[in-house]
Amino acid sequence: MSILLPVLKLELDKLYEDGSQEPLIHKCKEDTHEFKTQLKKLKAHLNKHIHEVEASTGINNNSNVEESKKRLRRRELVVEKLNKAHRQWDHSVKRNCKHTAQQHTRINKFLNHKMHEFDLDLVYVNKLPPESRANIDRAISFHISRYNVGNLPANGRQEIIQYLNQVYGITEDISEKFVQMGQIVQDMKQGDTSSCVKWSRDGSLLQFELYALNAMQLFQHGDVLQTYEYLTENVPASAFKYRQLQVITQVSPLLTQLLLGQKIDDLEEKIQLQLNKCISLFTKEYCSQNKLPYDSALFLIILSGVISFQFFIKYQSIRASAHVDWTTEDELPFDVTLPEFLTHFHPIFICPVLKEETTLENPPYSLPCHHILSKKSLDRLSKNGTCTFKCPYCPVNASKAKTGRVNFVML
Amino acid sequence: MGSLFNEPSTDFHLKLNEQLFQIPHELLRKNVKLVQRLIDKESQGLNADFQELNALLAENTLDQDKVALAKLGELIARVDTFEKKLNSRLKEDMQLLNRIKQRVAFFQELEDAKNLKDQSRLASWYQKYANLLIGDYLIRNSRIKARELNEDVQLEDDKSWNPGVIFLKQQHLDDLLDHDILLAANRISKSLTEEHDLNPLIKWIGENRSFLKKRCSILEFESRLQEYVELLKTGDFRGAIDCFQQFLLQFMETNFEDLKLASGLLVFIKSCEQPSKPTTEEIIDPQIIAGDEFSKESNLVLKTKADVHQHFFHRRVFKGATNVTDTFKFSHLTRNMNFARYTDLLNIKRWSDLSQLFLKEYYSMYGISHLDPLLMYLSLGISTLKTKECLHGTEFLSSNNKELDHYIHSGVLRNTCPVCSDEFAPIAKELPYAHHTQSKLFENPVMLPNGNIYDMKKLKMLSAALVRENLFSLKDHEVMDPIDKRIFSESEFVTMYPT
Ligand SMILES: [Zn+2]
Repeated sequence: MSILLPVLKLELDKLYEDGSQEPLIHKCKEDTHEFKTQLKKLKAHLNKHIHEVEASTGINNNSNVEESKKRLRRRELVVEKLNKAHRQWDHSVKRNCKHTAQQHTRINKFLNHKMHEFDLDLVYVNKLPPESRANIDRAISFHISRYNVGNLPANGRQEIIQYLNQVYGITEDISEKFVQMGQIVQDMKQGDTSSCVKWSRDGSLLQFELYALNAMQLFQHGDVLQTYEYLTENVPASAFKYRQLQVITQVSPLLTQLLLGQKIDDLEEKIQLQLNKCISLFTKEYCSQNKLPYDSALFLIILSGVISFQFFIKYQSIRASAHVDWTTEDELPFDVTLPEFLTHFHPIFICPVLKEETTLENPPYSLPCHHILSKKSLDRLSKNGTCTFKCPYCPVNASKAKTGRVNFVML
Repeated sequence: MGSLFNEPSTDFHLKLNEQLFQIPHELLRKNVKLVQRLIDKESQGLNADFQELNALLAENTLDQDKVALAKLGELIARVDTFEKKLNSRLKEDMQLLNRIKQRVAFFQELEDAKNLKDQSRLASWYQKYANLLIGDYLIRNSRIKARELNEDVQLEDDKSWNPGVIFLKQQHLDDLLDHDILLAANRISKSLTEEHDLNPLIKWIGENRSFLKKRCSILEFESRLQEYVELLKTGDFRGAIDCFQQFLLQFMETNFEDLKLASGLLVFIKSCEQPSKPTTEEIIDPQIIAGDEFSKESNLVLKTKADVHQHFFHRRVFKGATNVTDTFKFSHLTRNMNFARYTDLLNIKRWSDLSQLFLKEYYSMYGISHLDPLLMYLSLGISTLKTKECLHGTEFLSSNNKELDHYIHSGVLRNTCPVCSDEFAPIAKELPYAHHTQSKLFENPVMLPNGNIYDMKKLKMLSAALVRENLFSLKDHEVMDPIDKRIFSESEFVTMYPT
């Protein structure tokens, strides 16, 4: 459970006026506006006063002393109010500004003390050589073609390839791999599934999900008759054959609601979900059919980097307290536990005697007892093949002649 | 705790991305300071105005009242313009707060996916995370282009665009990164390295002088020195001397040696007409070699004393005056060396050094790492994945059945390891391997007579698939070794115990 996130939220909330979506300094603006309105009003009063005085002069000098006294009092009131408005504004905006600044100081403290823990620049120990720039650019090109090709403001094969080249500098040998995929995804996003239907294999799950999506979209447009016709007549026969259960759970309710003239709750949202489902199914199938990796190498490496980060930081803090240097060996100085989907690429065999990963130079060998050792430890145990020896794991004796080189293969 | 595939905690992510909050918050503070200044100024002005107004009103005559009325009108107009200024500050505030809000929501998404144990949501969160890193890298490094094509993409900054910004917008992630900050840095840096134009840098220095002073930065000195050198290069001696007097003399105390060198150049520039040739150094990405200049520069061979001297003289300017005495000894030893100092000043490599210096200061001002985060993740990620088996492809024996070979080689045995991919294999070569203390193999390992060890179930499944796809006919209890295509019987399986 996160501890920082709720506190961060709480602190940031204080940058808004209580219970509103307005930032703190909004109050300054409101005060100023109010001040301006006041000034305008008082100006109107003063103006009126001047007119009245002007009107009264020369007509009746002595008749209305009372009147002019009253006017004078009113004038005094205007002057007083003017000054009061000014004082209030001055006081309020200054206080508000100070308050805002204080809250910012608090947040700054929070960010510096609670959120600041490591210096990113120190993590970059093994710098990539300058020549890698071009390779990174290619990896990015591949990544963008794989994940962003459905989001482009371009249509048609040539246009998409050209767009990717002009904007992202992606060369055709990469972009052409994904251009068909991008086009179909774009079509689907625009509500046209026909190109995807054409692409999908007969009887595939994708074909069925597309059919459901189509029905939902027709339903949304409110053409009951057309939807009904589509649902009853356009159902691919194979959909019934293999996916009876799905037909019952997904299509039947739709059909019933349609017949009863009912409305489907949050249809919009459901269509969006179904669309995403179709897109992801389609991309998966497209990639596997075209022998393209489903996830870009760049993504998998970044993910491994993220997972590795915490181990690195832990190691670094231990190193700092123990005053050890970065090991210059050709291995990372810490062990990272990666999830299965990031480790199934190569088999890893650690020689149980040497505790080292076997390599081309030091390959694994099998013993007659079906245990496995690395060549180096085998040579050591057998004194370079001059004597028999006991397996370190069981009491069976072995001689070098009875061992054989083995090769782990991941399928 | 709360981890689906050993990914770090949400708090770890927050700390890792502290700058996503630090930057907009810094901008918010700046904005509030501007508001403060605006208010202070306005308050003072209004105080004076009110004094005047009150003085007029104190006369209590019709004539003065009329003047006061006009004054009040002016006052209202003044408050009105103030309100407008305040409004634009408020808008800025709203935008920045919104940015922060989106980022909090972004990390909340991570927290939610973790709490719900929803692996696919978590995966798509990391998709976004990776895309942010890529956007960041592209914004920092891609050339900023003049706006001509892509009318469809709406950019606030309509004069120019950059692939990184477009990528983030197309991924709907643009609020999660302070692209304006990164883009501004890129713009100034590229104006140095590509156009040899100092103006944007000097303007930036002018706006941030107090920050640079606090850090005792030599950026201003270096850029003025460069300005001076460029004037000399064009033969504008008058302008150079003016520049020297106006901008360089103030550094007399801190950079006396450099000033001596600079004034020397005025005399010797004619003798140094042939500055060192532009080399491939220019193309080298300074980001990548930063911090490791000595070993990685392609053309740098420190064989002779002269080379060493040249190198250090060039560097000395950047490293402050610490090794002045050393360099003095050198220059006494070999007189002709002095020319190297001058040609160094004329070297165009100084432009990329200046850009590096600027980027370091700029990023530290916002608390951003000046090295590309993407490169850090890549370096760490490649090593974490790199096994001893990576980078050497397995050799297959092909059979005379083409279809079968295709099925096996492009499907079954295809290496999908990201480290072994065409793009990353060359990069991975120089990086360390992962450290493993335990074997990571498969279930039910069985050895065939040829020494190949497989997962028994998968080997049988493969054989079944070959039969089903009509690629090869196998009898019951027969399997094919996909590597050498030999056929074995299940009775030949040897169960292995790799500990
Ligand atoms: Zn590999």
